Amino acid sequence: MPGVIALLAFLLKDVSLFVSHVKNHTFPQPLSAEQEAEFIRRMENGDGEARNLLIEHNLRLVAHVAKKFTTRQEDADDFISIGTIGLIKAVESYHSGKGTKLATYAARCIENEILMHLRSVKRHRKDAYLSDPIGTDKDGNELTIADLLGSDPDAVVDHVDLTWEKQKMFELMPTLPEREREVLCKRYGLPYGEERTQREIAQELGISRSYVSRIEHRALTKLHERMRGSKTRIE
Amino acid sequence: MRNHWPSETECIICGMTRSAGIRICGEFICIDCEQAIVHTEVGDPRYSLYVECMKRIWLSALS
Repeated sequence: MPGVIALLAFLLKDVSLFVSHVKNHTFPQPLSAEQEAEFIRRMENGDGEARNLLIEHNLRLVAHVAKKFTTRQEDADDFISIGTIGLIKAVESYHSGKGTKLATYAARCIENEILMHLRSVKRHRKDAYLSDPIGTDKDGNELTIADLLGSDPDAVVDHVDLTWEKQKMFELMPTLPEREREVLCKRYGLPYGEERTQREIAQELGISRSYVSRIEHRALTKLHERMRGSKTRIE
Repeated sequence: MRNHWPSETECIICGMTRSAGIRICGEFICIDCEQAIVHTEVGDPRYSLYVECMKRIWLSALS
């Protein structure tokens, strides 16, 4: 049976196959407390082979911890490898004098290594590339972010500024007296209407053109000052 | 005496033939690469290489 697993793993390059067979007796069994203490003592005296054995006999721990994090098959292989790195780091930095068992310390290091990886991946997934596909057009051609950002970057900024200014202006319009608001709306076709001349407005309101001009000038000055004021407050 | 092996072996990370390092399930990591692994953070560009190389240990454990 182990041979079949090995063959499949080699053929599929799928290390995670091993996780489901980690209880197989061909894989290094956990060390007894006495053996572990002996290997740790030897490792701390510079015995490299004892160190290797401590790593090998804790590989099951890697599989066990990695399994806790695995939700997708493709992640399993990476988690096992990352956990192995965590195990190597654990054995490298372990000190028996601190009173923590190697398995406890190693499990924490393995888990920490996988968590650090997950945080790193999460951070990078926020990145977007101009070549990232975001859908297709009506002819079925792939659309990328770059396709939608075909304009000059300054034009985009200008457009955003204009929208922002427009929004502020509409917010301040109700603060004007009704007559001034009416003249501005008719004069500039607000919000979506047709622009009119001062003469047309004068005829409609039954006042002189010069009076319309003064109302318009007063309203614009007030709006300008209030918009500048609100900008200063925001800044 | 630590990490000393009588014969030189090819490192699964750097591919160099060395004698000093760690051997896990028959796969060898030289001392330089081992130290590099231990001191490399997950965000380092080299980290993904180490992750790939570690898979050889597990494949070896199955064979």
